[in-house]
Amino acid sequence: MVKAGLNKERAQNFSGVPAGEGSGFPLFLFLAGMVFFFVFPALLRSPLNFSRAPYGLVMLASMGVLRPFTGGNEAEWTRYLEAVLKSEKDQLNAILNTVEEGVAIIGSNRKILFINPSLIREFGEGTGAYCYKHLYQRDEPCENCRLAGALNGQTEKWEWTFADGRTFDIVYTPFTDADQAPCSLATFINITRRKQFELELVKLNELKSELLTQKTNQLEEISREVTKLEEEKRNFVRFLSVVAHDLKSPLTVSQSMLWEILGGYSGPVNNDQKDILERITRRIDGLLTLIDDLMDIPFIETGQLVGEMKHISMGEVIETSVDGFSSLASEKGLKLELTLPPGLSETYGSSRRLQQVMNNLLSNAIKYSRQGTVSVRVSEDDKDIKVEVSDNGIGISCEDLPRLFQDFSRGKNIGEIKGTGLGLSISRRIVEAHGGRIWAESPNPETKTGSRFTFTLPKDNGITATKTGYGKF
Amino acid sequence: MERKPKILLVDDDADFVQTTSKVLKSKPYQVIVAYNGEEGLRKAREEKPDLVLLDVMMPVKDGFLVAAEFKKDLAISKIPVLALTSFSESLGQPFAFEVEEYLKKPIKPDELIAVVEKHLKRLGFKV
Repeated sequence: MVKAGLNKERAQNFSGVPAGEGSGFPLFLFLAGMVFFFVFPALLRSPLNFSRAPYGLVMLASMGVLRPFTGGNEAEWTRYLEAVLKSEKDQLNAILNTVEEGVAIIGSNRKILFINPSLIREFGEGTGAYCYKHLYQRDEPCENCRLAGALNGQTEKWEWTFADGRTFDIVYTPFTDADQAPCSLATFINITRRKQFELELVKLNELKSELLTQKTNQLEEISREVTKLEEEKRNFVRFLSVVAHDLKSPLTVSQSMLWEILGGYSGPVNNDQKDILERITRRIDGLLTLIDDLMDIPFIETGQLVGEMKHISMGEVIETSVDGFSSLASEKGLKLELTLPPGLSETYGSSRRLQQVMNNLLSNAIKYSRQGTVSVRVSEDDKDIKVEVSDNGIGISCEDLPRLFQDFSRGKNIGEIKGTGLGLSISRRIVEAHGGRIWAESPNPETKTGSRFTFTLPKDNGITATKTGYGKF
Repeated sequence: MERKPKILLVDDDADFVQTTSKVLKSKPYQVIVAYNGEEGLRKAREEKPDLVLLDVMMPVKDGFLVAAEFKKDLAISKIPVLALTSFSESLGQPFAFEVEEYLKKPIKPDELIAVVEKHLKRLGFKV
């Protein structure tokens, strides 16, 4: 580094050339360059606020400080200073010409001293025009003139919407012109688009809010409707149970009276009479079963099965059912088989109802078979318990198969065999209330004869003991 | 016990009462009848039957309430009550504690006799 010294003669430059011969010039350039390229850009990064960073003065000051150390003659200095000033001016102009913000300098006489291209684009060329006329379209100074504040040393910031709808963020900063007279540096940022977006956003939020309220109201109304419907359904089920009772009452007592006669409690009965009376009792029995079946349907449909459910052993249910049909099967000359794996998982359900399903399937299998085997096979995977009831009976035709589990469906080829047509539809409802599925295949794919009925019961069917109402939750 | 068992039959259906009485009387049973719950309770307190056959669905006083009253009244709480119902159990079993057993209507004469005998035997009657 150059030795510090106030004596110009003794000052040396880097390359050792003695001072006074223009030799300090390169060094000076170097140091000035450091200031120019490091200090200047640093200052430039701060908001465009010229009053805080008098770049020119910094430059001159640094030059003044450095000059004694570096040498150089007056002419060179002058030339250099001019070049620096020109360069600085060019840079400033470049900045002012390209920034998006509109920049103006307004003198204390309210005349526009300078206006940058961006502001010219917004308001037109207006150097020398009065600010209140050129910018604010007024014939005389504004009532609460902001310029006054700026001239007093106060920075004024505000939002202004012009007559044509353009909105600007305006800042008036206290400033001084070339002659150190007070003036104001004004920046204009066009925020019209932002304002529009803000308005739209507010509108959208209002719309959203309104829609939300609407939806909430709708949901509340639907909820009320559902509650009402649920209550109506419950009332209807209660009504049906009264109907069932009133239908059954006369039938049951008629049955009792017929049995009284048939039992000889009212005197002897001849064979013809016995025959007729027995037929009547069978008809009544059929009616009673039909009423019970019919009552089952609304009961199950309104989810009241859930109240009967608890942890049960499917193995026991199936065994009981199969045992119940063993004598009937042997009477008809049919073989009855059961394959039950040991340690079958427990399931959650109604043993009475699942027994109803088993009884229905076994009863059908036996009813519609004239020979062969009725087999029950139980299996388990990690999701379900599966029960298959197969027979070598008369089978089910293709056209009957799809409607098999519907109410009152009876096959075409059943001939003399009696039934209500509700057994399978009730079984389906029971299985579905447990979260399972039931289906039939005819012929049985394994034996190519008869039919195979399968139903599954999920091991985890999500039904809990505390819930009542509509089955699965 | 040597005396004839006394059975109280409570049912609002006169035909049912008539036919059931006839069946019960074919055995050496004494049959007392009542056509509603109030009458049934009164006759029970008066006659102290050995067994009660009670219809579940009756006007005036519901069978359930009658059964509850039987248990509340110490004089007659020990008498076994058999409930008669034409309902399938679809509609719940709200009073498993107040009755000994549910009998489903219609019940065949011999089945009724068998059940009655079972309970009478328990009470010490020779059947």
